[in-house]
Amino acid sequence: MTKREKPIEIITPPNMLRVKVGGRIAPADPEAIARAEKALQQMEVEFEDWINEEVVKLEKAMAAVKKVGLASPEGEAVFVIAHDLRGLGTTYKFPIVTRIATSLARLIEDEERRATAPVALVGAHVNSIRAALAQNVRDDKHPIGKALAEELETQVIALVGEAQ
Amino acid sequence: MAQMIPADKAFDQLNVMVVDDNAAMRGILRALLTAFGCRRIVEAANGLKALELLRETPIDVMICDWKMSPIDGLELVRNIRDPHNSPAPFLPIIMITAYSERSKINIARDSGVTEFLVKPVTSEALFKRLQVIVNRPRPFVRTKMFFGPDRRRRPDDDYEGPERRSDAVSI
Repeated sequence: MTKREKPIEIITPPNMLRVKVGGRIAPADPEAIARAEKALQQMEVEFEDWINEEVVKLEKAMAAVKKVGLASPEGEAVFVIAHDLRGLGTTYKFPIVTRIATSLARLIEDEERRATAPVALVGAHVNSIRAALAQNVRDDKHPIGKALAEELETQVIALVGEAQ
Repeated sequence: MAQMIPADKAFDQLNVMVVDDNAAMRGILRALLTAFGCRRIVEAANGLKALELLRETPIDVMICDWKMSPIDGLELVRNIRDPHNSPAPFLPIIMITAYSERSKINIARDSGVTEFLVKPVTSEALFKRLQVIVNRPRPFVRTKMFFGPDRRRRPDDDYEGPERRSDAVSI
């Protein structure tokens, strides 16, 4: 905490949540976790459709970017979808998509980066994500998937540096 | 030692709001929360809707995404932590985001987020954050530049010794 922030007032509000629930929650509850895992498992049948819908949206936005460039609402749309895929790819059982989408999102994270990012490199990320789905390459245990992800990451790091 | 409450009985009492512009993510969070025992779950697809709902509905815990429009998760949190205009400035907020960089975590922390969770969300990580919010809530800190949960990670939350920060005034 910097000196500019002093003085510091510390407020300890009454713990109304603990009062509301009637006490402390057990720190570990294997039954609750098992129920949650089962709920996620039951949703898995939907995951393939959901990730495919996201990738279709990504491809549409990318097609528009090829016409109007990345410094556009379409460029921002590519980032937003890549960011969503970064967060959800692993949940959808495609960690390789999370990895490639992370690289893509870093490449075009803000307006400044979108102004200079090579459209071809953005397109290569989008094509790689589609290829992973089409070939059912789910993680980087697959040698081609791993090599592709590493190559894309290397090119992005060369342009924008390491993540901090 | 206080009584330990089973998760399903405890979470059944809580009103939880999920704010995410991605419907699939809202669905996943709803499924996890329901499995934990939550019955009262309110959803909002963006920050503005969340603020609107917060003025109408009593909410105990908010789970929000960062990247949303028209106002993003950070702006939502800053609005909630505005003690002059917020209906719930002390609301516990768990931010769930794909951002994992240290710099981003610091920005979220400085906006007033209570807990930070990096996607992919796991049931154990979400359970732990909710459990900590109920069992060991952070004190709040008010300075000229910040109002929100104490940003220091405390290795020993059961520490009951004196406050060591100079100039700290406890209320």
